[in-house]
Amino acid sequence: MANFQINGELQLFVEKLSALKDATSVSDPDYSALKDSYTAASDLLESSQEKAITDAGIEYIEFSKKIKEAMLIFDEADKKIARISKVVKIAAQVIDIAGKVIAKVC
Amino acid sequence: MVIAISIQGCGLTSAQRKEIEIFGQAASTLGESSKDQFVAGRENVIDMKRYRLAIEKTVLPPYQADSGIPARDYFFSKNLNLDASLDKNDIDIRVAAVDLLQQYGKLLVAFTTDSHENEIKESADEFAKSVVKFHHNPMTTDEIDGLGQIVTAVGGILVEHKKKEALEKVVPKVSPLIDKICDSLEQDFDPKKNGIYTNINTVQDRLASVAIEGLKLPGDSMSERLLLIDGFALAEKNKGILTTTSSQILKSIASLRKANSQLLDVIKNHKVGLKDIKEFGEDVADLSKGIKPYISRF
Repeated sequence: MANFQINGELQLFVEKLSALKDATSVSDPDYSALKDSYTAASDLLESSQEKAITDAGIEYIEFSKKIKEAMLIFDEADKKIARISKVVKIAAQVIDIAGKVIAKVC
Repeated sequence: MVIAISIQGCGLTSAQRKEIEIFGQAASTLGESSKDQFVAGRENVIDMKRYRLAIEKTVLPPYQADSGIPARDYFFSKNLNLDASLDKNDIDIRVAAVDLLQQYGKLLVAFTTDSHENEIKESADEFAKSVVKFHHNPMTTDEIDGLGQIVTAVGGILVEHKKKEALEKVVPKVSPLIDKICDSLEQDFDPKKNGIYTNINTVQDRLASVAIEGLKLPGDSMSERLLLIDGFALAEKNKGILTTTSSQILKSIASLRKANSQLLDVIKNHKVGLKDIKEFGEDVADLSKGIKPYISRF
């Protein structure tokens, strides 16, 4: 949380420096210092973002792993559902065979 | 008939089907648009970085052998980090996750709508044909047709029951995961949070800044001026994309959150509306059509 706040404030700082740099003439005596500050702050922001993006990747990996597990439950259910129509088919076959056997006996 | 009706009560209600459909669409839309944005975002960042390095007239510093990194890797990671913070691996992880989100949404809808009705009807027909062929079969044609209808109805009810059982296991398990991926996606697509979009924003701002600086100064060749103008235009284009797509994706995330919460509610609390009662009545009518020939017999 603290890290998030620092990054949020750094982002605002970079945005303000950027706007100030754009609005300042290159002939201004402070332009060079402004440019250096903006570049350093922007580099720092970029590297903090890199870390945050890589760290957040763990959440996505965890999601992928767990949702794959959950999706397997549907496969299991599909197999059970397939068994229902199979039972009806088998019952039909049994009746068919029984009918033929009875026909021979009679 | 009483047994059949009591099993029917254990099937999916139309409210549940409706929520599943809404959820499936929301998950699918968000999954697809996020995937596109992750991939396009990295490509745009690489493009913007190329322009920036060209405008800054980047010159590689002398190689430091004591860094322990091979020269090519050293220059790439330290000086030419073209994809900024959007490493291929970080993007691949996200693409794989949102792809699974999309698949889950589609699977949920398919699982609910594909009722296996044809398969059961074929089996029931086969069953009825076998009864016809049975030697000294005492049943009339109406009774045999009715038997087929009963087998189809009961088979369908059992299938619905199995589906509901599976959904009752999966939905509560996945629901917190959906909330979590919504949090992660919000962090990545909200330009105020520290994620993918803020990184693209930082890269576009830096490119715009160097381009504006170059354009403030006179001189340079026409091709160098064009490079500055193209760089500035590219940064502006990306800024526009971020503004437009961010609000759209954040809206989709909000929709998915809502659909997720409603789906969980409707699955857990077995909510039944008027439509469900009507649907239930239609199912019972189908079943009684099959039973009718037997009632007239006794």
